[in-house]
Amino acid sequence: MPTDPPKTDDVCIVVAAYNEGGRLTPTLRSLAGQGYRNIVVVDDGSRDDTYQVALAEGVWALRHVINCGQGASLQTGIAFALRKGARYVVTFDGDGQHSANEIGRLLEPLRNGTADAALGSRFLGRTINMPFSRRLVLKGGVLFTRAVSRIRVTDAHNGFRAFTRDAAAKLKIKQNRMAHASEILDLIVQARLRYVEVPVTIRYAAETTAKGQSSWNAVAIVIQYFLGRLVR
Amino acid sequence: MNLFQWLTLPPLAILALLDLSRAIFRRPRFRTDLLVRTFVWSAGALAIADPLITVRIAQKVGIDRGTDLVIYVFALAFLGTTFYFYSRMIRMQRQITELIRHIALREAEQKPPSGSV
Repeated sequence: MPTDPPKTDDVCIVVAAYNEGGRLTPTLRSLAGQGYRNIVVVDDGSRDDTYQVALAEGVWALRHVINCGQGASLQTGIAFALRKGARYVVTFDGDGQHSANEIGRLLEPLRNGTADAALGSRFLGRTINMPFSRRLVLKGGVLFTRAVSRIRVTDAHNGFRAFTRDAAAKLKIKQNRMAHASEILDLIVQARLRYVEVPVTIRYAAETTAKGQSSWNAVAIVIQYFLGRLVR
Repeated sequence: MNLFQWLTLPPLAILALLDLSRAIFRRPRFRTDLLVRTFVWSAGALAIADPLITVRIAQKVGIDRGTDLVIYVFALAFLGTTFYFYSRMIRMQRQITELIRHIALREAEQKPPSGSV
């Protein structure tokens, strides 16, 4: 018996992108290939042609006139997705690290009503070409998050997440830069959202690893996180 | 009074009086920051007018030397001021982000996707 194709028109995919002109097209095409039509790219003041690439791919393209940070971009994208009436909001990296065919699995617990937020976990799923130093830093991040945010997760800094409309509306990300990942977990705890971790695949390439956060930046992120928490 | 006291005390007294009068008489609301500034000018003037006062206060709080007390107060004031300005910067950054977000959302509404995906 043929199975129904997964429902995609009630889903909005938010892609925060900074200088991703070269990698954005395959990412957007992989999303389109899975049937997702509501794609929002937030160009975070890129110096390259990220915005033009997004426009050329026929997705909603939003542009920050100056670089604000990934947290700010996600909040902009989520606000736009909610305005457009999305029932589910998925955050997805623009650099090809995530797999579009795993979105359906991420959405399952939201669709069947068992969770308000689904958090991708590379440590429950798998990683491809992850540097050892990155693994070490991420594991440290997990311990830090468990101690500070009081949330039991296996992967604290995974950008592949899904939220129901109500849950997304409760997220008010104030941490503009990379500390937003910890802040999102705090907001989940504060809003008493039901969350579940879903195994996902994260694919590392040499250029994305080079562009991503250095291991030393973890210290700066921790400082940003605490100072950001102090300022209301 | 020595030359240094002649040079510093009158301006400090004027500043203290100006800020105090502004704090009290400026409407519509009472300005606490002006009162704090009045206190800072007055404390500075007092310490210059009678240097031994810092020694007496230092000994009362368990520090031997007046200079140590001044250094500690400065260190604390520096930390407080740094955090105050950092907080102001973060709040301003958030306001700028809100503005940028507003522009981004408005522009996107005016430019719907061409629909090639």
